[in-house]
Amino acid sequence: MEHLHAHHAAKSLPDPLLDSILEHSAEGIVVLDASGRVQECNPAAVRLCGRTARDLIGRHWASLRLESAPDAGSNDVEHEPDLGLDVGGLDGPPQRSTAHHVLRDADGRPVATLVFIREAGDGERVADDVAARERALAEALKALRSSHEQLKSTQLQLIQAARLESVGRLAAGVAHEVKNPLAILLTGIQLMQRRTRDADTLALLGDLEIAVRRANGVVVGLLDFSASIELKLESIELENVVSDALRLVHHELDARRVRFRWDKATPMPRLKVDRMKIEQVIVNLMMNAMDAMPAGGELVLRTSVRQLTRTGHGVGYRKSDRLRLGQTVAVFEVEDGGTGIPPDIFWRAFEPFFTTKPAGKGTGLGLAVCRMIAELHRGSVWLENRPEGGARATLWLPAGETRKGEST
Amino acid sequence: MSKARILLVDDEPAFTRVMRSYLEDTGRYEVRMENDPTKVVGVAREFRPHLVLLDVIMPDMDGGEIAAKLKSDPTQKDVKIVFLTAIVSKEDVSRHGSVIGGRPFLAKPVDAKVLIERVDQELKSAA
Repeated sequence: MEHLHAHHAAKSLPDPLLDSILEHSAEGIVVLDASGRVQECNPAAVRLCGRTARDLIGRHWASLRLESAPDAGSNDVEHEPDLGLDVGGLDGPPQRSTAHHVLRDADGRPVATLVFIREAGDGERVADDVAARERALAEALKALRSSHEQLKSTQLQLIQAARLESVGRLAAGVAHEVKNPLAILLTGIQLMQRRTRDADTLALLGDLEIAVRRANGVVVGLLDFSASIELKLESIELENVVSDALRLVHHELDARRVRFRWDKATPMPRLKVDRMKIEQVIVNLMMNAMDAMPAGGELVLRTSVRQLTRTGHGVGYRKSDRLRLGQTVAVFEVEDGGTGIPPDIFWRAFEPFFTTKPAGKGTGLGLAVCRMIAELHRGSVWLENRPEGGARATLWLPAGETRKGEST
Repeated sequence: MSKARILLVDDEPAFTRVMRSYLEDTGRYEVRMENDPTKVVGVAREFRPHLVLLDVIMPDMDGGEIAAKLKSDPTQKDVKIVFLTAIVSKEDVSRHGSVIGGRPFLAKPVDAKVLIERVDQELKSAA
């Protein structure tokens, strides 16, 4: 074999082109097998070694006596490592898969280079294959995990969407079928209240009326929850929204002996939001905080503006993420001094109809409505336990574009 | 002073019975109830109500259709109509906007006192 055929290191080149390059290369190129024997060589290598190709093939590289550099007309031949490659001793095959040997003339001037290429042995090939496959598997596993996470997230969103759709359909039917009997009951109760003077009967009728109104409240909550909500956006000072919400819960705070503190960490911006709905979220979160402290305590509302620096809670890079890293958000944090939230209900707390409150105390729709409203505003709401005790509910609303370099 | 005539239309007999009792207990209204929506126009021609309390969702004929028939009848074109509806979400109201057509409506279950206030308000505007 007079010249090299396509080598695995140059597989991307077409064979004729590779042949031509090797054929006309001034550098001597010698391919050794794993044991260091010459497998193939190009014409320049044949010339530089001063042998025929037939004589070279099968020889151990250590037995090649590179005695002359014909072009230089000198018998002095030097082997030297090139560019840090470990050439190895002449007693064995090169330690690396390639080695350059520079042939010099008597004055030490380089006149030609022999390039040795050692093909990997079976063991090395297997090791290389295994390593390559491990890398490929690791990459595939990483991609699979990422796909799995995305799939899981999408599946959860679909389940949630399907659930909401079911709730929506259910709510419309429930509204008609439940509200009509409730209408009969309420009018009947009010008729009897008008007709009787008996105090005990009136007290009883009063209880019945409260029960009917409570049942109606559940149905109205369902309808509000399931209605395809169109936001009525208006540009408004967020502090005004908070003030309006506080007016609504003021009486409850007093009645439940809950001390209240509004910690304005930073001034709140003016934002385009649905005033009533954001007010509803704040009221819901505050009512939940009060429910968490049946014996009273302190409720803190902390408002601030900050830049998002971590992923999670709807923050990320993906298109589906509502908030972006670096984005500025208006933050509302409602903190209670209760016993905190059991870990096993964190993920269920925002589900429609999930409640830990006693029967008649909650519809299980409060946090679900909060989440829906937050997401309609491209924001986020979530719960966490505070290290110092009690729970914290946080609402983030996007407050402008990403501003790089702004601190948290 | 003659009593105001109110035609109460709802496919739920129990509702019309208790509501009629409540309204008549005030001593200010004469109430006729009708549970078959297809008979409303005929009853109205005979009863000549000042005001119709009209349920929206009923079998065979809904409240909007009945209102249109009443308004197109020369003997009933000036009758006042207050709708009663069990559907109260914004979406439903907007979807049934053409039925309600800007006319007053009350959400069930309606507080009887609120209903009487609205009825009196409508009757006053007709006077």
